[in-house]
Amino acid sequence: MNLRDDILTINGKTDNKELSALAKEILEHIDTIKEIVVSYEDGIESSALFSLLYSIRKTNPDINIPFLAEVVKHINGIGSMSLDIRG
Amino acid sequence: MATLQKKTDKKKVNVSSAEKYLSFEINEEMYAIEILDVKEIIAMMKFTKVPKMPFFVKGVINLRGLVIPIIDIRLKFELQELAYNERTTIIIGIVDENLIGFIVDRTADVLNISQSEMAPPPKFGTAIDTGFLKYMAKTSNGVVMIVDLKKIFSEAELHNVIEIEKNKG
Amino acid sequence: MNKNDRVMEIFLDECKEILSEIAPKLLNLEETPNDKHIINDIFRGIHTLKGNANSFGFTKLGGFVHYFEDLLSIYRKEGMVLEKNEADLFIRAFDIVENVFAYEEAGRNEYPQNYDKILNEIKVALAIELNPQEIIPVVDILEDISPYIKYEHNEKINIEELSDMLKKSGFNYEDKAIENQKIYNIVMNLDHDIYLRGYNHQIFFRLLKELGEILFSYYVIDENVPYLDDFNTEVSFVKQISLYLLSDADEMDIQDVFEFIAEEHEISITTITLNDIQNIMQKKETRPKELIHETKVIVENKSSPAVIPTEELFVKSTDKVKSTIRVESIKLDELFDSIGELVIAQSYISQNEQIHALNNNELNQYLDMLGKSTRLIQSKVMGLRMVAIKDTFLKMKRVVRDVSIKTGKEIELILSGEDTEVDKTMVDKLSEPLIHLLRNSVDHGIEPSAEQRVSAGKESIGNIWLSASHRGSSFVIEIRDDGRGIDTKIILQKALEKGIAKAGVYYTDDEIIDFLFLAGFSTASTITDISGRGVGLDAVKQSIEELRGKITVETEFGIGSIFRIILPLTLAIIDGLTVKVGDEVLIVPILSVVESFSPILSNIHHVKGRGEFINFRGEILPIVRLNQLLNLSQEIIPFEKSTLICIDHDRGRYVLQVSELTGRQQVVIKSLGLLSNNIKEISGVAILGTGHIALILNIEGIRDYLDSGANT
Repeated sequence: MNLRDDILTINGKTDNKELSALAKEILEHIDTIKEIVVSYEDGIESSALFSLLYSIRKTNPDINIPFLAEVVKHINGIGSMSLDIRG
Repeated sequence: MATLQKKTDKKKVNVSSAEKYLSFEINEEMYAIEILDVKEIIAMMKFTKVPKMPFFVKGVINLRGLVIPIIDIRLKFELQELAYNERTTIIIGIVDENLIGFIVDRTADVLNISQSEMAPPPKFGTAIDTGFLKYMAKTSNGVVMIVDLKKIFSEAELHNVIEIEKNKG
Repeated sequence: MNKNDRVMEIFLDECKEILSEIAPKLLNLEETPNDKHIINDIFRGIHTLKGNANSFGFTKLGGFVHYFEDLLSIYRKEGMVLEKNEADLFIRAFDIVENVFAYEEAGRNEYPQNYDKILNEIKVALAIELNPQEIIPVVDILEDISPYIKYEHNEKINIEELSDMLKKSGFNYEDKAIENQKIYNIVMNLDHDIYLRGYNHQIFFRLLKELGEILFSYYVIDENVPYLDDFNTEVSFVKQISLYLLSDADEMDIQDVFEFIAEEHEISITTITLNDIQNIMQKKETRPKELIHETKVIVENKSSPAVIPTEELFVKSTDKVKSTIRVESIKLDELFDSIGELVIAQSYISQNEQIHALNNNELNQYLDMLGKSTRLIQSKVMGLRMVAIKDTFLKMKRVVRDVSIKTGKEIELILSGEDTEVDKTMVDKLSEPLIHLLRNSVDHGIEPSAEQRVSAGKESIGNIWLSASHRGSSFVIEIRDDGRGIDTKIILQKALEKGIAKAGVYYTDDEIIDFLFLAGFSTASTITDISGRGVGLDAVKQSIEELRGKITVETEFGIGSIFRIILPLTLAIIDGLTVKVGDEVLIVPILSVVESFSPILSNIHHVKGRGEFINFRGEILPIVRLNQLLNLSQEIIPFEKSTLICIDHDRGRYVLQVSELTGRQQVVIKSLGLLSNNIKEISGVAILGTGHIALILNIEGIRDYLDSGANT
């Protein structure tokens, strides 16, 4: 886990197995993390990452997640996309 | 068995108007039937006997692929049987939508007979059973007896006859 | 009939045809519930029915089939497993469809029994399938269900999203360079378990990129995504992905991409042309539905033909259907009669001595040609009357199924030879006897309980085989079961009780089994709803005999029984042996002829009061003098001047005396019509090549005559 100055950086290439483990670690630091950054220069390995980000926001809405705030993202391998949460 | 739909409606619109009748001869007496009941007239032809039929049913003929039973009217009228000759004719009649051949001595003209010329058939004094007759008409050609084909041949009667024959045998 | 009536008639005919096609398929479905082809066929039928019903104002029918169609469409998806009770619901729903159609057709302004009940069941099933998490209370279902049903039909284009996409992607749809391209909107509704099945968005994004440019994609995460403590990547909360692909590829190529996606996802692909986009953008307020070419795609697994757009499904189905013309059967009969005349005229010409005397080669050639084409026409026309027994057999599946449910016996009906063809008139008349025999097999043949079967060393499910085949000029139907077999002791006991059998007389097994076919004989100790309707096997026998056929039984106690129906191929034609009796020509059905022979006088015996007999190969057979039987002449034809024909019959062979054999020919049977009543010895007449009418002997009737003891 790359946690520095209360900013957690998640690599886009994290796979599902690692994401599950990551979720546990984040939960341990859920009160200290201020911001979460996704580095997706090399693309995004799994769409489960999107779910994870929403799960984090749901668990602690105070964490700043710029990735979720961006209306349009250009992701290598996916292209232009937007992310939304709906019922 | 051939059946035929009656193409013409036989409603008598005006009773006084003359109707057409086909006249024929049996035992030198003149008879006639309504022309609308006649499909066609053919010469006597070879027929096939059908066993266990009433005595007046001679058998069946092949009329262009149709199998039609034929009835000897002489026998039905309980007259002497007459050997068939070149004048013997089969009138193909329509009875209750069935085609039936009636064997007569010879056929004669088509007559126009008006209702006013008709009289009820005599109760007695004729050579045949008056039950077969509808009317008696006095025409310029003499007395013509109008025959009721249904009385001569009806399906029900045919079966009754067969029943009677069976019971006898 | 005015134009509207005709249209209505066509509509009604079409509906009836659809219904009759669906019925057997539903039963097939019960056996192979996951055969998607069958479900697709049924779906198409119901879909067409819905369209018809709505356009003709049959609202009760339309309303019902609408939901039925929705339910069916769910099971068209690969991976949707149809359970037995659901297949059963289909069948019950179809019963309602048939009934409501009959009501609509008759103009009855009411709903058939169970209409609401079944409709409700369908709606419940729909709700459960579409939203398995939710438990839907049955009571409120009528109102609550509608949103789920609409869910199935949401493949309309999302114009808001489209314009959002255009804005965000900066895509210039007016760019001339992309004139011939299309935009595909691909919407995937994903399940929770996609990761477990190896879903990876990178794979299909890569594949799609090979086909064109992904303009934009929308990922929608389910708001029910759990809190972190429950988070794991085994469950996916990516609910929907909607993406826009600019491509000049065919839609089929796009669909191929989704072959690699795990099953169970509904993928819809909507094609939008650039022209459409311009129009949409220009008048965004009004939704120009007619401009959108949409297809709905169900992703099936790799083994099945991938993705089939609905429209194509329909095109394919019409391609497969053989082109047919409906003809009233009376017209066929008329044609048949005319051909009969043609044949007669032809044979008259070819046998005409004056023409033969001309000895003109060219003329003879033409006569040959005429003869050949006449026979060809004759056989073709006869062929028109022949239909496969299939539909009747498939109906029997339903019969067996119903009886099986009623009796609680599990039965498998195994069909074979369904494609065997037989005269149409015969097919129509075979249903009743077959229904009766099958009910009989289930009710009396198969053991009352599975335990009994197992203890007898049989599999627990009872088997009934229904097969059809051609044997020579006969058509044979067999109903075989692996049940108890017939206990001749019980039959004999019953026959004695009923006074049918005489005490102290020895009866062979065959004779005892024949008792089954006598009027008023019923072995069931209690009258059951199934085969004890007061109609016995005697009725079956009678209807088979009316078709000039016969029925035989083979049975082995404990092993099973075979009921065999043997029929002529057609009611219209028989293979006949022409014989002369005196001057009369008669026809003997060849099917019944064992052989003909000149009698050895010393073998003939006169038994006082019982008639004449002949010792034929060690068998003493009664002789029937045809000229006497048929009152053809009073003349007594001496045996030395006659030929004898041995006739085969179940109740015993007998011998006919005729003057001579004249030949063998196929003849068209005509009824004696009014005269046919009460002449049991004659089954009909045939018109010979000479134009002469010949009587056709009724082998059965002559046997009856012998049995009555009249042949003295």
